[in-house]
Amino acid sequence: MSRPSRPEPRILREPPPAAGMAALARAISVFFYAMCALLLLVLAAMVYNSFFAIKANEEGMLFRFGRLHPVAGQEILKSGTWYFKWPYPVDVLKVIPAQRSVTVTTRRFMPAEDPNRLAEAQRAAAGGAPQPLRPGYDGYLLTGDANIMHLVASMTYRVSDAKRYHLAHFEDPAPPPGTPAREAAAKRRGTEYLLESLLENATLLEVGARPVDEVFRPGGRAGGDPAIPGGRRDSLSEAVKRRVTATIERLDVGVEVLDVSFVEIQAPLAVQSAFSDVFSAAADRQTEIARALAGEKQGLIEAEGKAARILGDARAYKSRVVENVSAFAAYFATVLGEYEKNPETMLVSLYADTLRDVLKVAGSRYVVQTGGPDQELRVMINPEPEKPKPAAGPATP
Amino acid sequence: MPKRNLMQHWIAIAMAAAVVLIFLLALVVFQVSETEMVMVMRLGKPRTEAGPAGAPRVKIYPPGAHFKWPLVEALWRHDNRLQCYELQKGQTEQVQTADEYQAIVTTFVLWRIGDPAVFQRAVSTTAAAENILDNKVRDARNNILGRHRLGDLINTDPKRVKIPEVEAEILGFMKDACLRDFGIAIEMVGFKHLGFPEEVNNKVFDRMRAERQRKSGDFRAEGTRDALKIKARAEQGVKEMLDKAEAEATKIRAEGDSIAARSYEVFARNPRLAVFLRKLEALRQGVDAKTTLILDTQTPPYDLLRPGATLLPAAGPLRNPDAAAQGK
Repeated sequence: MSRPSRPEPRILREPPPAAGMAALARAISVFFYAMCALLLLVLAAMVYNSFFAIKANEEGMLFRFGRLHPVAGQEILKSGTWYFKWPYPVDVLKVIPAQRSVTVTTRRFMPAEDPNRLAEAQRAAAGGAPQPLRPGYDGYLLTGDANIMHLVASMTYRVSDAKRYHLAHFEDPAPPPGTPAREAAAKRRGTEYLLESLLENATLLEVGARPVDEVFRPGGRAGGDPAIPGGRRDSLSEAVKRRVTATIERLDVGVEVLDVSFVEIQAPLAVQSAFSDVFSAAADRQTEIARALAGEKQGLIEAEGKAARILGDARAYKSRVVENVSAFAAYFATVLGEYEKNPETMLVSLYADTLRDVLKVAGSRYVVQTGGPDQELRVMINPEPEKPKPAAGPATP
Repeated sequence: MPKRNLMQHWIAIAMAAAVVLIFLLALVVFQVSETEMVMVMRLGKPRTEAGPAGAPRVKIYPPGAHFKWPLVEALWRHDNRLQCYELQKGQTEQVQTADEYQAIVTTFVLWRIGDPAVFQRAVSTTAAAENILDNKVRDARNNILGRHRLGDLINTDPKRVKIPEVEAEILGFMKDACLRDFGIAIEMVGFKHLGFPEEVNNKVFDRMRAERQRKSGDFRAEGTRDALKIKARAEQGVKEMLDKAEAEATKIRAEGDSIAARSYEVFARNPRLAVFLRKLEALRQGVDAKTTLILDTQTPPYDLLRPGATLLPAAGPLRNPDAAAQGK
């Protein structure tokens, strides 16, 4: 038996110092070239981003070191061509959505909680207390006759002067992610908030100059039936649009108001049932009038029929009388000829023929022997025969 | 040998130099945007320049790139654009009008920096400016609203609504003082909301309910009234139409009778016979199945039932109408 031989011990040898330096130099060299490549990539990206175009519904402004820098003599850059800008911080491009319509909507005149949802909740609770309107929390509008109502106002506008829009009016910075909506709203100071405020101001004023029925009424002040709920509210929206436009022009905001509209016009929850009853009463009124009109039409049509029948009867009478008399005249002339030949026979003959016909037709005939004393005759002259009783025998004539 | 090494690394050296240059420039160069006002504060004091009359004034830098000394000079910046601020204080404050009504008014202000030097010195920040506006506008608003009646704010007559005038009065009340004392230029003051205290709201609801009930009653009464009017009109129309038809019918019947009368001339040849024939005709038409006839035995032909009927009479059963007429 032979024993296994022991392995040779491994001896780690340190590389010579010159080789280490060479490896370090190689690593630095690799890093350096990587940095150069990265720099080239960054430069390429910068060059790529330096060329830009403006979209069709936008306008741009180029600021060089903060100053508005005209390009080819134009301060406002438009679509359809390529532009060049130096990288930040030399040039900064500001793009304005100049041609696109933007809509701002304000719910300032609505309660903090949706009244429709609250109404459902109250109906479910059956007889819950009406929703109070808390100052500083719930919004509403006062009408000219000191009624309270709610609505949502919207305004659509577009930027007509990008330079004025950007340079003369504050632009809200985007709120940091996660900012609560209420907090973000409280920090708004910019143009959109300004326009929203002007819309609220004009709405407050115009609604405050009209009675509540006119705000609800379709067609506004100019006319329309207050009985018909719903429909257009041109007059109010037109007036608000006019007022906002005048203020915007005075402040030179650089926007053009395209449209103002109001939706969700409603009474406060506490009085909604009373308002609904008015609409219901108005509908009842319309129904009653419609029924009366229908009755009038029907009555007139029936009267036309009756009148036609009266006239028809009269014409028939006329025709009948004329024909009868004509026929009788002809008959008379014929009989007269015969009568003159043999008067007595003719008369008896005519009389007997007539009596025979009459007796044939008559339902009951009684012949009474005259000339006797104390005669009494009882006759049932009711022409309608008695109905026979089921159990009885055959009816006696 | 070292010179050759430096030349070998010229790219790295250039990059390092560029970084250093950018760093230095960032220390001494600053930008002024078109949308802001910038002052250079040297040891906390704004840098000045000679004014038109030679007097020193605070230097406001125009848009573009400018230089400043590092460390000893700092920048003060503020947006120079119009801002919209809704008063945050006193949102539920009750303002008394001249006619003793309590109103709650939400107000907004459009403002910008009017005098940068004064603004920087007296206010400096947006938050401070808004704090000042809160106090100044509230004071002016409460003062001016106290001089006006509620009817100047809401009225069914548009000419009597004076909200723009009230807003202009508030603006005029504080505009000059704000510019002079705080460098704040106020462009507009406006109302965004107008309301009543909560207990007044409840009273308003009671009144609204009563008004709506009255209106409902009015609508229903109007409906009944209008319907009755329509019915009366319809009845009148029907009556007129039938009356007209009756009149026309009478006329037609008269025409018939008139035409018939012309045929009566032929009866003049023997009027008695004509009458006799008419009677016969009337008798024939006047009897139907419901008629009960009671005749005596003197009436032909029932005279045949009498004794001696087999004997022919000397004369006929009937008299000649002509002879009867003549009394024969």
